[in-house]
Amino acid sequence: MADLKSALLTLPDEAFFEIIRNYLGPVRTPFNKHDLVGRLEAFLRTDEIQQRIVSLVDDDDAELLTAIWFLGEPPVDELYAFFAGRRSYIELHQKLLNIEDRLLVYRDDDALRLTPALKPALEREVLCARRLFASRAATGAQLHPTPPWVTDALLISFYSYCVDEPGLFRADGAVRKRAATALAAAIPELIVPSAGTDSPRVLLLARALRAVGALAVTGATTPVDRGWELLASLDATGRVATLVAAVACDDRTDGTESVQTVPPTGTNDLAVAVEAVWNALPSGIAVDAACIERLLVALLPDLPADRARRAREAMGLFGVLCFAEDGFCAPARREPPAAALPSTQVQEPQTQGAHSLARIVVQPNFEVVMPQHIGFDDGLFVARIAALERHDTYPRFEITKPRVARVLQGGASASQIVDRLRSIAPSVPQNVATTINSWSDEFESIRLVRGVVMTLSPTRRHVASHAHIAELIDREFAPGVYLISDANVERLRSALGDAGVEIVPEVARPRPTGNVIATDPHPVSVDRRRLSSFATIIASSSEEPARLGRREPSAQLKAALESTDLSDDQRREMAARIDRKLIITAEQISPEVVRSERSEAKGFDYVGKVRLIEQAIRTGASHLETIERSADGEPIRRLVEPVEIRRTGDELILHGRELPGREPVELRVRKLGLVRRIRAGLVARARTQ
Amino acid sequence: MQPPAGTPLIIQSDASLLLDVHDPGFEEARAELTAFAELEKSPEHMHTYRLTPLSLWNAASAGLTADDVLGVLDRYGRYPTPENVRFFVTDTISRFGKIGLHATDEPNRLFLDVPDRAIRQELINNKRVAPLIEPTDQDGRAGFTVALYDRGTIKQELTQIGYPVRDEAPLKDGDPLTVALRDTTPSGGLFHVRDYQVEAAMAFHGAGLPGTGFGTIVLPCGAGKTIVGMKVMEIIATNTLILTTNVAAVHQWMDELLDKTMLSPDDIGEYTGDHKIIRPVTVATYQILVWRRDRTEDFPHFQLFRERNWGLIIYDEVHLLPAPVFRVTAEIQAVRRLGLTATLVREDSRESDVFSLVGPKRYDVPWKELEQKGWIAEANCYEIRIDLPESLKLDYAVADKRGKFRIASENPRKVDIAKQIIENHREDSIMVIGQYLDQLGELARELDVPIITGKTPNAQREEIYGRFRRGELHVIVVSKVANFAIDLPDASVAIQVSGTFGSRQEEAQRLGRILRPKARNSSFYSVISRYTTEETFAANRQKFLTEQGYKYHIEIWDSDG
Repeated sequence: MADLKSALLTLPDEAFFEIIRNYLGPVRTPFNKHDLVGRLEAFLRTDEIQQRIVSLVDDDDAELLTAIWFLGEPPVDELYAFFAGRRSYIELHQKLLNIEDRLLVYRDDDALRLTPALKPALEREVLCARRLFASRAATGAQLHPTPPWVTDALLISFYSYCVDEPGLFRADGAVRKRAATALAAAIPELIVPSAGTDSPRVLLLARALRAVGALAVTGATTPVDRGWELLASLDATGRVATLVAAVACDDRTDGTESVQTVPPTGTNDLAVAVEAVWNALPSGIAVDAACIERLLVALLPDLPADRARRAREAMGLFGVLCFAEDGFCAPARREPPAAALPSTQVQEPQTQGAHSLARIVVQPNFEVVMPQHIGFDDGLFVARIAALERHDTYPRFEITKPRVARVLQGGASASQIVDRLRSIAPSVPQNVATTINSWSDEFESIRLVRGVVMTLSPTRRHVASHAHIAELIDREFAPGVYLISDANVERLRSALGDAGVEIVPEVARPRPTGNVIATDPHPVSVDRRRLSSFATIIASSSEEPARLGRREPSAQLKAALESTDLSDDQRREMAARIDRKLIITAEQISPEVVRSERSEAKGFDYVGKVRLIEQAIRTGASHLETIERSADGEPIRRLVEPVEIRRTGDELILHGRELPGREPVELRVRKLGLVRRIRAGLVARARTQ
Repeated sequence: MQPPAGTPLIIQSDASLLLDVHDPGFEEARAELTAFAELEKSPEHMHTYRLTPLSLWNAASAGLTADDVLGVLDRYGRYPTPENVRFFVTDTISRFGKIGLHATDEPNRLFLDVPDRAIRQELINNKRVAPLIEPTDQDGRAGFTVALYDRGTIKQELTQIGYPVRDEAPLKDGDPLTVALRDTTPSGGLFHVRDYQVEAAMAFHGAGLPGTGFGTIVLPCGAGKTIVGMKVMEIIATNTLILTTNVAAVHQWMDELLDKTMLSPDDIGEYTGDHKIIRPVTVATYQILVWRRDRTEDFPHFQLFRERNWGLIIYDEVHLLPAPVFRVTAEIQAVRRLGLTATLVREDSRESDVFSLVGPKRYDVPWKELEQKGWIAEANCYEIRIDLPESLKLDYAVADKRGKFRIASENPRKVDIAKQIIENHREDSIMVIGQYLDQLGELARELDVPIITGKTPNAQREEIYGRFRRGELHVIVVSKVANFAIDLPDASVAIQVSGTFGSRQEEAQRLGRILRPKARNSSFYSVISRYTTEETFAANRQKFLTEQGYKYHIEIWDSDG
């Protein structure tokens, strides 16, 4: 990281001397740049100077400085992204230039840094995360936060419900009427409308689960185990955050669709960001909705604005944020000991012992009562082997034969099922354990095996004895009838060839079925360092910062200006500098400091505009602000990085790149109503960028 | 960490209550819950109660307030009571007393007292209620008149729409009849009514106040519901019509009445297919009531209800009340009505009709509680699973559903199993019970023991029962008559070789055959064919009993033992 000194020393001369002259007065030869910088640093270290500089920081400055501090001294583009929608690029650019000129910040390559000498004073008097986020005290329901409605228990219940669900949704994506009635009886919370909508929560939940690859909606509504395993790998808060992120990143339309195989790109990142924002928001405080989006963008600078908005909306819909009517929101209760129904506040103690709250109860009538505390993985196991009766404070299930068979189909054995039950229940009734074993015996008594059947006529039966063929035979169904695994078909064909079979028959291969479920392949790219500083900064900003007001330059400076011998132009220029807060001591008011140069041409001043453009191109250290009228007469304002000015026919055309996107642009100089030269910054960008 | 002690109750948002048996506060909470919640099931670890409109209205009629109920829930609840449940309790209890039913000067009309104008309007607008009511004003009280004939129907309809009726119209007293219970039976045995039987009778009678005198008593098999019926007869002391399930049960009632009360044979009449004798106490079958020549005709024997000035009607095994009898039951709402049963589960799910027309559940006690107190025997339940013989497997595979069940039920290997069980219980009195007469006949032959079916003449049946009681016979084979017979001799082992599909009542009834208290524990064996539909039906049959707290121990036996 370059320090201020290095940054100053690498400035182009024009910019360098501009600063030195402004703060230290005229530069006498011989001079040494290092000495000059040293004097400037000493100037800045003076208590009085620091106080004067900081005392001129108004609320507007403070917000910008706080953003730079909050974002951990970010690249300029990230700062622009953070303020997107609230400040125009031009406005932000000009403001940044100003605080650079005031030595509050400097640029280190592309990153903005707070001037170290001023940082302690700024931290004491100016910097506060609460400046960035409009906030107020939590009110009403926000004072008694409840956890999000999508609890682990609810997810487990929904999983179980969907196993046998023939079809929750119509083709248009709405819930089928009969299904809605059944769902209302089994999981009433899911028929309740999502906050602020008429749409039942089940639609939102199904959408989220589809998006993470945990639910297939193809006629029937079927859990996809791979997606649930992904959810099981997270903690409770992470699960909620992942569902929020999945909805926000899901760009598909609603309605019946093919199986979603991969979570939308960016889901993991956004989930981490959502969780971080949720964890960072202090309780007792409500922030406005835009803040949430800005926080998400702060963590994920590449996050598109509409996705940030959707994430914020999804946080509200899932109950991660509790919104009041004025649009201010407070966080839901995080990592509760146990999730509660909306109408209850559950306080669950820790779990231990034969009849502790984290163990299921298996009854002789095959009923399973599941406490809210159950581990997610254990709960999913129950949901697999038992059908949901009703989701409630303690959801109730019933172990059924079809469910157990389904688990057996998946490769589990009866003893594994019973052992797993015993590990999560105080006891398993003998009749239940025996019955599960009996179901397993029945299930195993008929097997369907995928593979290739090789038949050998009696004249060819000896082939089966060939060593390389014999080792591939999984089972002999009958004399001359053999089962070979699908995976070994090519080896078998090769072995048959080796065994002297001249024409080895082809095997008709079954069509691939199902879908490969993969997790989001994109690794998480959220800046972890920023994550933790984020939370610390927000947590430490416990009080409302003092309003700084406008902070006018002192009357003494204006009086000092009046008493000088400056020409009118110089006086105007110096007054402008005072207004821009570049002048902090009377000693800076000197004719040698002032350089009157034209920076603006407008109206019919065609020549002036051309000269400004040429100057900007020549120095390479300026941008151009241009204004022209559209066909409707509306002003179009641009900030342009000029590249060249060229005659095409009768027209002079300004060729450049429009900021911030740096899209190529060609402007007819004749059409420009205003051209204003704006410094590019203390560090000029190379034109080749 | 264990859950906080003394908080055994989990209050669910559907108004069901889970009661943790292992929590130290279990007993205390249970005692309080019975006042306002209905016990739904009581398997081993967690009992389920439910707050229902009826249970809350019963509580209200006994003087409990919403705050009392909520206080209990809050005190024993492991978690806060859901808001919707709080609302349900408060709202439901508040509806009690809003509508009253009173006598009028007209003998065939009643006054429905509805002070609330909005409720009156609601009733007028209700398509099912409106035809039953006529607006009126009685002594300045606004309401409606209702035909006496519609007393039961209007209560049923109003219950449906959430308004319990405080029925304060007097019940008909009926012609008096003194029914005194004996202290000593004619055979010399001592007889006394047990405390829970007295409680049940008093719960029904309710000191004779308005709103009492009709209801259902639910007691386990073998707990002596007949005695409860007789106790009620003693309290009310009026002409009584007893309806029961079959002729054998009729005779058994008659015998019990003669044995336990001071009634003489002239006081008791039999009204069945064989006899049509109507006396101050008359015992009839449901079948005779619902008999008619063809479907177009009325039920000629419904006249029995009007034949005498009955003051009490007892519906024995009320869960089996035939649907047509509901209709006439609706007409006799002015008469005291007592329903007796061990299982209030109906396969046609018309339990609410039983509550509305016969009366709400007035008394219920978990089976296990009676077992713990020694009033019924402790029973060990076993399910013995055996394979079908190879020779029958193909027949089974190709049979239709009924055929499959029959083949599985009549598995010849069950004979050997029954023999083996009998061999293991040489000291016990054993009853082998089944569904199929051919199977039972073969069993009786193989075991060389008598068989009792519906066709067994009474004299023969009594002779066999007598020998069984005296211990001269230690095994008998009985058909479905065993489900309902009230004086079937006490056995300590029951071997069920087949049953009526998945009938839960039948399973409970059969278990009840061995629940009379005795010196040793009882054993109930259910022999079923493995990997057949019988296994599935058995699971359903057992459900009721497991929900009463019984556990089935499953064993797999091969035919070689």
